[in-house]
Amino acid sequence: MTTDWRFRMYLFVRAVDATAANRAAFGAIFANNGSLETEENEARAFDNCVRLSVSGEPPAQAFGVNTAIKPAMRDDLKTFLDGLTNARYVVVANTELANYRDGEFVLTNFQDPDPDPTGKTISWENTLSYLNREFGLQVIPDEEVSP
Amino acid sequence: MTRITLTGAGNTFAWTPASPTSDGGVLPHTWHYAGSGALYQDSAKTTPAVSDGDAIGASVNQGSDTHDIVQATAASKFTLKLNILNGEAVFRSDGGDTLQGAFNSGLSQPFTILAVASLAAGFVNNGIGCFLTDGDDGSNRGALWKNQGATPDGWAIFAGATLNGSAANANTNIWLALFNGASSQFWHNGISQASGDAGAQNMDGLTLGGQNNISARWSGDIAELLIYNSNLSTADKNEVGAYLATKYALSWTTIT
Repeated sequence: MTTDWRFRMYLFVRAVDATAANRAAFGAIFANNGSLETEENEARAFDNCVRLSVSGEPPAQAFGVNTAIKPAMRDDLKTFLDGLTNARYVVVANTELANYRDGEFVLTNFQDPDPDPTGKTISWENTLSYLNREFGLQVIPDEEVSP
Repeated sequence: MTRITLTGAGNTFAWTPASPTSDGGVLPHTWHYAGSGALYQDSAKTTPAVSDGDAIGASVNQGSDTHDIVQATAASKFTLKLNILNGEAVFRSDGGDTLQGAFNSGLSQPFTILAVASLAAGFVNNGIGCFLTDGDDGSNRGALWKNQGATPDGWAIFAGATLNGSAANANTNIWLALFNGASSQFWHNGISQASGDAGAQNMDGLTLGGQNNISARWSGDIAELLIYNSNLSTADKNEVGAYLATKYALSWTTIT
């Protein structure tokens, strides 16, 4: 049986766009398309996401989320992200599908995915490299762990 | 192998370790594994997670304690991946995924944690802490983690004090950690990493795949976690270690 969570989306939005309204809209896309969780819980995706900036230091200029998605979420998320300034995403297969290998590239709105990802497996790290080339963004390390 | 003590009878006989509880084996306090058949896509446990790629919103404890560990945000859910490790399933984390819950009955030291997990290669020495397990709050900890404070980053355990082991790697390791105050010790694949003081904290909950405050998350695969509410005997440590080694086709050096 094939999972309903057929795709994985690596998505990035500007920090200034992670407003309460946009978080709610993001959460609603999941909750309204069978995530089985509440909109409020899904809106928390940006609370523990990857933070990025040109310097690699705070404050964050962009947020990155790596999440499994269902087909209907993919279409709604694409519409949502296309409505934001400089939002970027890559979609890959989240399992073996009829037309895709597990992890294989499906679609992107990156302007210069180099190398050409068609037919290739694309990782989160590949996507961070695209983002670095396009915007010079670097991952901000998590705050120091002090157990 | 020969089953010796976890049967509870102290008898000795040939044993195929399909489960730590087979042939009358003792049920651990906590037992979560990706092939348990007790995983759900949602935190409310309405839709089972059974297919490759399913998001994991809940894992029902298969041990003696009555608890679940859950995650209610899709972007923070592990992915179930089938046939990864000797045909067995794993919880796969992209670096931002956790499951967390409170125990019904807490653990007091000494207690013993075993786990099978691998850390993604890019996280082995990246200067960022990565927690395989922790408590569910900041004062009741039982942490297995990769310590970013070591040079290079190294394996460690923590229950109020850090006990550092060797340099981290991307291997699939069988962790065995005894939390017993100043007499704590931990092993990888049966080989001692370190012994000494890991602190005296007890555990009243579990975070799988991250620190208790949901930071410093694990990236990689987690196949199985067992927690026993005791200092297992040396024979028992080897017995459970051998069970995990057989199941996942890993090596285990007998602890003496």
